Amino acid sequence: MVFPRDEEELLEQLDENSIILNGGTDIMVRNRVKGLNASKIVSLDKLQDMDKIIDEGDAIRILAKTTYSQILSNKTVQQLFPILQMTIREIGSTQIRNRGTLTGNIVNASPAGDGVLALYLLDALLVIRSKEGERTVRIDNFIKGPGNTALEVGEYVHSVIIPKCSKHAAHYFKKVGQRKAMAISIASMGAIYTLKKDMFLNLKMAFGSVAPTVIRADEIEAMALGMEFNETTATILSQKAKQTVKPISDVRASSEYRKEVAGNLVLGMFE
Amino acid sequence: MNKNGINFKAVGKRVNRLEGKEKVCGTSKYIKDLEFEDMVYVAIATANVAHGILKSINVEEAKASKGVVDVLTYEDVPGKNEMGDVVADYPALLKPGDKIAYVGDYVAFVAAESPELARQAAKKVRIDYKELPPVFDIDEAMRDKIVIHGDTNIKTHYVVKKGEYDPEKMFENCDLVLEGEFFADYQEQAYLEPQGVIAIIDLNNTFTVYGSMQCPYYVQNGVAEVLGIPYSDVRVIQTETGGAFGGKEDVPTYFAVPAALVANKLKRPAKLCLDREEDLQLTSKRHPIKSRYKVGVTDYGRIRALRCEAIGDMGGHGTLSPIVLWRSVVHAAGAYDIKNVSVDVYGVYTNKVPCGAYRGFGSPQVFFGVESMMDQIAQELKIDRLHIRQINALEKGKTTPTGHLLNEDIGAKETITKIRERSDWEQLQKEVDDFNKNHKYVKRGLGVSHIHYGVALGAMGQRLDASGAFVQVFKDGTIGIQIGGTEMGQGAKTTMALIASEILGQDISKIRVYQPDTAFVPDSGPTVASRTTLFSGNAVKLACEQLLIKMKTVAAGHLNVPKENIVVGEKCFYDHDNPDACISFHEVAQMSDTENEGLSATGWFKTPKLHWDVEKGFGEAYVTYSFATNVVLVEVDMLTAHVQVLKVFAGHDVGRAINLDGIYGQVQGGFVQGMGYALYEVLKHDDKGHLLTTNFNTLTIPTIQEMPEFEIEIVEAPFSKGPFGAKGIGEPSLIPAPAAIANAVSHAIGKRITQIPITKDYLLKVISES
Repeated sequence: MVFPRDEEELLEQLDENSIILNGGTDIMVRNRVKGLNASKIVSLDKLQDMDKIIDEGDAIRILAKTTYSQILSNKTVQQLFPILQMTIREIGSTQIRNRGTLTGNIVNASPAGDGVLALYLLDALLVIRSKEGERTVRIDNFIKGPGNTALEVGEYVHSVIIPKCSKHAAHYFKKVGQRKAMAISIASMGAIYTLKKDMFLNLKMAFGSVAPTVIRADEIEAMALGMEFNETTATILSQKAKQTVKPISDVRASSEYRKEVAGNLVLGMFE
Repeated sequence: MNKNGINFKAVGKRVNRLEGKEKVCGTSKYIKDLEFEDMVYVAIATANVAHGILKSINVEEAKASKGVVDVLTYEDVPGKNEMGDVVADYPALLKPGDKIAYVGDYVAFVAAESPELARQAAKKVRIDYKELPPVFDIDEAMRDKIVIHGDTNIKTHYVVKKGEYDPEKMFENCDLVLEGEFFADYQEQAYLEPQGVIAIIDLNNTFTVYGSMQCPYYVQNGVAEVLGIPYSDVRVIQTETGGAFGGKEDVPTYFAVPAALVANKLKRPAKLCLDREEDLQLTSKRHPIKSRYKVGVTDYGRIRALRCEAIGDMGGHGTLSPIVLWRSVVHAAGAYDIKNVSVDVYGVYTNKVPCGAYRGFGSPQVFFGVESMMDQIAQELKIDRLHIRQINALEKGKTTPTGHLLNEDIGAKETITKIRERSDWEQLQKEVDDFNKNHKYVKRGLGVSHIHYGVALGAMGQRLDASGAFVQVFKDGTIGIQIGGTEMGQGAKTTMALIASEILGQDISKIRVYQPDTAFVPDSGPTVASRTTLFSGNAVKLACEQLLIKMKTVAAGHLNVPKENIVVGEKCFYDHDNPDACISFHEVAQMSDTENEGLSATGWFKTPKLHWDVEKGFGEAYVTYSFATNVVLVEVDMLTAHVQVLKVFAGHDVGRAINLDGIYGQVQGGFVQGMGYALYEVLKHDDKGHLLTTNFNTLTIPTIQEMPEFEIEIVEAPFSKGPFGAKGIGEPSLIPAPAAIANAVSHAIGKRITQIPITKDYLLKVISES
């Protein structure tokens, strides 16, 4: 295990055999169960000034080491991004949120990542850095599949940029787990929408744990425009949601359950 | 003075747990904390195939592995190569030609210089085997197309037959006959501390086994038999035990045996501590039980006849299964006065982990069935659900479903009455109806259950049902108590101290209850079956009563009054006629020492004789019964099938509350564990018989977030042979929970739940079915 103190040292350590430890709430578990597929652990523990949330005017920037707890207690996030609050509150326990980081959650690339779902809804951008420089990738282009990202050898995720959205939008999130806390999502749904005269002016909707990655429900989003916020719309969109999701069966739940529940989660939003 | 008009000094007082501070501060010594010089670490190599015949074992690669000291196989077993306390059909180490009955069967034991190196080497043990088609399903096992041991998979069949039990005739005079089929799946004990033992060759040149366990005498017997040495050469000392719940009844023997075999061969201390994954894969679970019920009642709800057929999944080896399933048969007809009863319970082998003891011991599964039937009958007849239990409940002068005439007062009906009052039952039902009228996707439901539970080992376990105690008073007035029962978190030490304090008057802060040691107290049977307060408690009481006679004599001599005049006060003895003539407990202890009185005594309590007809399953099943009633309020999210238990009203007849805070702890903990069974804890296997849910990330047990609000009512209907009237509470705390929760969910969704755990998958399907 190595402990780089600044970005230069960090980039020096990154190679095809390294893995970054940023919080460790996933890696420590994986290491115990089946071992890590890496000979070198690069800990971000000693890296300076990398746990901040910066207000950049039209967006906020969350640096790599920022923990969930830090995000939860940030005033700007509280005011502008309720969805981020709602999703992060559902992650693990206080102890896990004190250690776990949003960036770690992104690179872990689990379809069940609660924080990631919020980033899909917020059209977040990831700033990726390497010795060669910097590139910016949209979250849905970054995550390719379970545990699979667009991160190349020598690169790390430096920060997350979240564009500010309308203060008037409604935010909604519901997660189904095996129990209330300390549970990985079996299915989840989040949405950000604005109504005008009870009609959808816009809608963003995303589902977790029902496909290889978190997914945005583009078709539902398009369908909803101009529709009334009522039971009829709920039923139509709920049916569409069941067709949209592509869940698998695993030890936590069956694909049938996940499909049914994806539809029901849409109904719940209209209640 | 308590409400029954008895003036107790210690009994019923709320006190801190004797060993509480050390547990909370983390200074208690658990098995993992113990180290001995020159110790080796043991890992188990398992067959990893569900069903087959072992052809050969190759340990060469394992032996050559880094840090390995030795690898033991069947050839290293000097004594009997079998384990199991009721059925000894569990080979300590398979030999070529043996049947492989489940993936966890033992093939070799690796001894290495560290636990990690031992585990790595264990993976390198190779076997050659003939694979056989496995049987995992209860019904398939019953068909006997694939047979695991002998010529049938049906290992046990117990019955209860009472009155008219001919299935054709027994329902003749009933106004309503209802049927139902139920399935209660596995449950894992999920104790905090995984299994662990250390075996050493001690100062006496005999074996001492330390470990986390419920039943030191089982371990003593098992180790002596497999090593082929006298029982006197095996001493077992229980270390502080971080939960057990039945999971450390027979199972610790299966780890003490490998450790002792290694210690025997290498003449070095040997330690075997499981990690969570190993523990979940290799240790016993609650038996999955399928049950079919037929109940006939009058139009006003009196039960006339009950028929139940149930099958339990024993797994690959018999071990404790027969005695567990015997408890199922005794409790399957419920806690009611029923004229005609016919119960058949079968136990079948399957190629899965051997099932065994778990808090409730085969009863929560059948109470789920019978109590679901009771709610359904009440609904059908439009009778109040507490009322239907009240009119059928047992009382003095009635007989249990096994024909046991109850000739002492019991608190069954009082638990129902008290819970009706405490829950404000009529109002509560109205509130739930109102809530449901106003909510579309969230529904609330109320569930009821009423149970009885036979305390101690019962008619089929009489040969083990006795317990001893050794008590001494030291010259400084402190007291040391040695019992054969174990503390595993349930509060036994505190209860024993309260009993001694009640008799002798000494404060419990001056009383120490030692870790059980088989060298000092005779075989006291297992610490199971909610029997410790009754059995060890009586033994302590008897010993203390002998000490009291000696101490009164000394006190009388000092105060110059007849010893009949001596009364026990708080930390003192005084003259009944002149309370000012008083001498402290400490002084009497000191004088007794000077006068060579020898302030030590043993106590021995054995079960009252029980008369039982095994063929008919009729008679006195248990020495006494504890009773309980639960009313549970749940909330169901109809969209996601998530269930939350909001409130519990639990009424328990404990005979006498000795350790009151201990009882509250048991009731809360037991309920939550039963709630885990009803709602959250699912064990899944793959199609090769390997457990998939091998850690608490997929096997989800309740957390503090799931904790409901509790309202607890204690009923005291004293049992004449219990210490101060006490019965047992350890298991009755859990047993009513799954049934009451399932009934509450059924009420909320308006459909009948027929399986537990009520997984989200299953519940959403039931909700969606039109």
